[in-house]
Amino acid sequence: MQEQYNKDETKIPEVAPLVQQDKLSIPTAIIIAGIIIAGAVYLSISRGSSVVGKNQPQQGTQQPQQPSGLAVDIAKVKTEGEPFVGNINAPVVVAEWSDYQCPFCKRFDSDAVTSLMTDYIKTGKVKLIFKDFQFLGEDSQIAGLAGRAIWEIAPDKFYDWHKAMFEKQDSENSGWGNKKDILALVRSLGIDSVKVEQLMTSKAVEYQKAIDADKVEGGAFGINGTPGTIIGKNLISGAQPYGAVKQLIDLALQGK
Amino acid sequence: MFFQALQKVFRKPIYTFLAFSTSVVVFAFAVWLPNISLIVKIMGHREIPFTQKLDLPINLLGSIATNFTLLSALYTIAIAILFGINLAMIIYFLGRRITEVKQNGIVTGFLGLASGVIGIGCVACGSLVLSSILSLFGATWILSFMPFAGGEFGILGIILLLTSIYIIAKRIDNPLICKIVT
Repeated sequence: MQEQYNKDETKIPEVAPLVQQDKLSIPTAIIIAGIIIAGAVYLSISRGSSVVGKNQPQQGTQQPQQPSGLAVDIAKVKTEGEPFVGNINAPVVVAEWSDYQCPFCKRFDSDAVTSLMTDYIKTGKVKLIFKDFQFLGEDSQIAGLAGRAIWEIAPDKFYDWHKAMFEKQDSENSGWGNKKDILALVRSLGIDSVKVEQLMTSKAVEYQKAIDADKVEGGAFGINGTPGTIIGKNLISGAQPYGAVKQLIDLALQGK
Repeated sequence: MFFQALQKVFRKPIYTFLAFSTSVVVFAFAVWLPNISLIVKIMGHREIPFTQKLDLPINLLGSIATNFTLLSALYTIAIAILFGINLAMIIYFLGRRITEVKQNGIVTGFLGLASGVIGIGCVACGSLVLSSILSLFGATWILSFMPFAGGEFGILGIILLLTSIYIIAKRIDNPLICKIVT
């Protein structure tokens, strides 16, 4: 009887044990997230900004690879024979690596470079050097070759052509931007397009070498994408607002 | 149910502040990422006055308009906001000392946070962080096969964060019930 009572009437409900899921899940997830974030930050700092995929410059082939943000110095940038705009003896020199098909370079040119032109270049305070970082395909390479030829025969019109190239920019390696288009643009600016075309062919190897050297040099300073700009001893990556560029120029003018 | 849980959490100013400040930090981090070494360098410069030092990071915040595509700007902002909401809700949830933690919700949350960070992108090449990680293995070409050049990770991050917020909201709204085994 007693046995029956215990069996049928006082059966104590059994509380299910709390689900003992893997207690390490949360800490593990936090640690993984932390490692990914820390690793990514470290890598992006040590390797510069955006990476250029299969066209990534071969860093250190012509110059020893330098960690970005440490050895950056405009004094170490090769300026001889490079296209530039502004006072040749300007107190501050700025070097910009760009690709004529890069939409962010276009943005940087129409915003920061245009303001820079008014505030600092025309007033003789800044000399802006244009460095090649042509990595977005055939049209970029052709534009690079044309740029070298124009600099050789009409340096005073180089900036007009450079600006016009960005204004004409459309989709990558299609639409506007082949050799014929570029030569037509050259003609419209009053530059001898026949001579430009001639130089693009006869000096193709020399120009290409210079274009590639610019890219390698940029890579050595930590520039892995475009636009990349060196102002004094500072490298600024990407199409940053004019305010940031202006501040770095003012610091360079103050000698800091 | 979902909105009730959100109301429950964000009625308390501390969680609203936590979500807001986290979102601001994540947004700033994403925007500053390409130039963190420059910011560190300028901030550590002894000859530059403090107010002048602050100008650079403030100016660089404007790069959301200049250095991002419309898509990447939108998902960077979305990730920052959802990141803040998610973190505040996770902390609220854990703060209630609920012992029956459905781990999946939390793990999804952290995966969402991680994926969101990976998806942060800018300049011409999509996912900045992912490309940095992939470049370590010489595998940046993978990005060229992605229709949005790595932007997919940003979208995935948003989906995971939304899923996580939904799951946590459900947990917050449901009282703890012990199952009775008969």
